[in-house]
Amino acid sequence: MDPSDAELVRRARAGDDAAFETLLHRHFDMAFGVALGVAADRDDAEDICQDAFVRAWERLHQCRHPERFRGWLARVVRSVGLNRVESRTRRRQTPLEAHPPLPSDRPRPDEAVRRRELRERLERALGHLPEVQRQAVLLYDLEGWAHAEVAELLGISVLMSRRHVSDGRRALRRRLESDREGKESS
Amino acid sequence: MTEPDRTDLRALRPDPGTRDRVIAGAMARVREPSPGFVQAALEGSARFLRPALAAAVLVLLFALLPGRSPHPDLEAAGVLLSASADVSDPLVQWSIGEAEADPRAVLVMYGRGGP
Repeated sequence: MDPSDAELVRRARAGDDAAFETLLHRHFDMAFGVALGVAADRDDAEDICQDAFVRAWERLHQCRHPERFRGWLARVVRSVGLNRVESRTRRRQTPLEAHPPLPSDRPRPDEAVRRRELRERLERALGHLPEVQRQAVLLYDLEGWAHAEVAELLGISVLMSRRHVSDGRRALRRRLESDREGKESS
Repeated sequence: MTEPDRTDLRALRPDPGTRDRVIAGAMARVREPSPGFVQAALEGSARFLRPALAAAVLVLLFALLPGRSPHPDLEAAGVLLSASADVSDPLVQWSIGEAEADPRAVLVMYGRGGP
């Protein structure tokens, strides 16, 4: 059985960086979703994640409830992301290009093209949403978080989380429709 | 597609290559030593404490807080210490020896007013 988050946090606090790396792999998709929600840009989201992971390692002792590491990491990522958005002029500390891509399971070319087009449309549409709405939609619809968890991360009520998801979906739908109509008329 | 649903939103997920690249970059930064930080901490402590005591306190911190410092092991701290402070000072030597044996006991002794 895989070790729990709490166990991995305990090991990482004792200096086991491999345990920390396992935590990062386990929660990467969530962290990337939060970063994308803040920055609305994939390159920025990657940089935010890298900075946030280093900060999480440095401040792991501040994670008071290791069994709730996921929520704590999400707050670290969001904090780093918001700071970065506010000071976009900051230079990248470690260019990601320094680390060559590792082998991965790549989708077939036609599937990859379809996914890329869909992703680009979604990103364009998401970019028009306010940050809180974007976060709420991504965390609720993509990551499957409960409204209570979304509300805690964003510092809003559960009611407002529901409203942001609902409004965000509607806004996304409008944007995607206008995007499609724009393509058809061109 | 007229309405985004969870299936569509999955297109936003990072691919495994992105995940591996970002985590590898972060872990490289986690694992790389930062002697500049240690030097700054040592100099900062020395402003308020006798340099030998400041060095001894740092040795203890490194011993007590594995994973919290860029140099989690006492040996690495000792190497840096030798470049930054007078390791022939009896207090530093005593601290290193005691920290190797039982770091927490040393901290208690400092809390009581030092050795």
